[in-house]
Amino acid sequence: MKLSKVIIENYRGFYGKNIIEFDVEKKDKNINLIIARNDTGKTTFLNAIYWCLYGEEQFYITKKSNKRIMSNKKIIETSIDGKMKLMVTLVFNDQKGPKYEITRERILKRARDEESDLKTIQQGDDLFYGMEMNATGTGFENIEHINDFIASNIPKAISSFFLLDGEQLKAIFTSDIQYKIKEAIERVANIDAITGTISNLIELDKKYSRDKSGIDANFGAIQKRIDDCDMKLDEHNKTFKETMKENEGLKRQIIELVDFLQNHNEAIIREYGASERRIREENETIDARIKSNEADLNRLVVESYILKNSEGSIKATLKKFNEIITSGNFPPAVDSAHVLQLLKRKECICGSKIKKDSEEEKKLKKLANTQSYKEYVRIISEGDSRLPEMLNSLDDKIKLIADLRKKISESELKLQKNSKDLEEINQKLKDSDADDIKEKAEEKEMVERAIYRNEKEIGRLEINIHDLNEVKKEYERDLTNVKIRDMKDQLLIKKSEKCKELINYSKSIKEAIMKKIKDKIEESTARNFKELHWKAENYEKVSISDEFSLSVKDKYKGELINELSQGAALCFGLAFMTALRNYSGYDVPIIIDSPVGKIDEGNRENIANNLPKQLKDKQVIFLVTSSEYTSVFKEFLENKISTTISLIYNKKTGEIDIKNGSN
Amino acid sequence: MTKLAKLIDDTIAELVPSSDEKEAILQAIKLQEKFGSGKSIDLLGKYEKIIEGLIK
Repeated sequence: MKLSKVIIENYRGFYGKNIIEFDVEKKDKNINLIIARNDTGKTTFLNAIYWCLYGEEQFYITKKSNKRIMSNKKIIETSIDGKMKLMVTLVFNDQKGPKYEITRERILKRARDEESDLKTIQQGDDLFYGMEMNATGTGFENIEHINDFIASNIPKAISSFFLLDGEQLKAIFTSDIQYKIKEAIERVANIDAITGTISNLIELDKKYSRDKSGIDANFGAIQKRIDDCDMKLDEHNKTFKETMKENEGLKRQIIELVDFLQNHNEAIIREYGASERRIREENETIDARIKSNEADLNRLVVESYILKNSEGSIKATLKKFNEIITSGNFPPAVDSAHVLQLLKRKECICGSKIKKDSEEEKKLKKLANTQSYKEYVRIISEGDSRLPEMLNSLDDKIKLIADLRKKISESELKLQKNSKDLEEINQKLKDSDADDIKEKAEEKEMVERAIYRNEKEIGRLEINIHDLNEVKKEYERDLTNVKIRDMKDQLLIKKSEKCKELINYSKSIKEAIMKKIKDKIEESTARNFKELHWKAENYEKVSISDEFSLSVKDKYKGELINELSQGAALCFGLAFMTALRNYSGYDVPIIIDSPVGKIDEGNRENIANNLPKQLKDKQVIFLVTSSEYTSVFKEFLENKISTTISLIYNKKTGEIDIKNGSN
Repeated sequence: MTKLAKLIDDTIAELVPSSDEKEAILQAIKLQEKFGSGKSIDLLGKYEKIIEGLIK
């Protein structure tokens, strides 16, 4: 990846839009030169690249350097509250041509300030974006995650190894600034990727540990509980079946007993009950007949008795009647109406007055009620005809009385017989309750109690079986859960083991690579240093210790790393950085500000002659002052330069002018 | 292939006997190179897939 174009707009001294282009097509010429006098934009150019990539500046002449990056001229020409844009674009090429365009833009507003005319206020965040040439090379496409892209391809951590200030190179290996060589090697050689891999694997392994359930997967204990449940269930089920079977037998038995008892009693009741009912009904009929006969008998006896005792009187009456009828001697006729008139007038038949309630009045009233003569004749005649009938009926009545007495006697005999029959039936009923039924009833009661006990037992067993099944299900769920969690844990353990294996391999790989790279950088630094420093033969050994500290020893004084001259230190720094750069995993150009600022012509010659070779195939951009770009330097470097650009301060405009070629 | 990439490949070949694990480590390093500094990618998830691939 080579830097082919830098567009700087309104960045510090670069007013307006400035384009700096590098020729990246010349494969044998890898040096690009930017020549400028002091304070004419070299460091600004370096800072512009750094700002574009990371949003801040890195290279200051002093700590108090102006932090305002908007071109002063642009600020002044902008009205108060007016907005202005500051922008830097970097174009990187691959072998086919432009590949990436990285741009950072910042919008500022000019603010009113009594103390300064150059007061600006940033408007929102920087706009930072990138474009990438598509696979077919027909057009640019947006880079989705520009920060990720920069972090992966030009990480800030390695910026010190491709954006360099030559005058500060010595700080890399002196104790003044605590640069760690190991870290430098790790970063530039992209060991970060392996370190990151190890960190991620460690993090992943921690995750596996966290994800583990941590349960004690004691299947045996849970399985034993399930087996115990099964055993108890078997026992209970067996007892349940036996009890059910026994109960069914008992129920059959009780049905038989109930049938027996019912049938037995019913037969007897049916048999004797019918006889009893019949007898009782018959008795009721007989009783009624006896009562009727007795009533008839009583009447006949009375009638007969009266007739018998009145026989003489009747005969005498009959005789008298006959006499009366024969003689015609009836009492005189009395006129009832006449008698009633007398009573009304209170007079006697004889014409005398009568008193109330007197004997005479009573006689008159009686006389008034006396029947007429004809009536007497009728009654007497009738009685005369009926009296013989009455006397004749007495014999019939006596005969009927005898018949009735016979009938009553027969009925009473029948009643006696029936009573005897009823007693026999009652006795038979009593006899039938006795032994057999009693025995069966007791047996039934006993069987019923057994059934009750069994049903209670069956109920208890059902509850126990249900409860045991529930407990067993719970244990089975536990077992399943434990098994699932254990399977997961086992899988996590396997993953963790594999993870640890990869961690160990990665650590070994990292150590081995670090050792190899260290050895190669050590060898390369020593070789480069000898090529760059004219007096390098005096230095017996250049080495990097196992702790990754740099060491330069000479034949006479021993360790000299902290005592190197300016020139030797710069050459050593360049030698080390070049060695590092050649093992770098990052394909980015190296830009060095003031590479030969403080060294003599001899070293410049060596650097001009050898550094481009040492950084073969790498794009190198030297930012040099006119005083650095001496004729010797120029002579040895000229045929390796692809582009020369001059930055010239324009006194009239106060701007930096860009010119191709040396001024 | 850069010198470093070759060095890494050679070292992995030298130290890791199993080809599956070699491939897994190379894959993990490539993922780290590509997404390591970014926070927008679930890198651990990708690593997990590598591990899962190894234990199958």
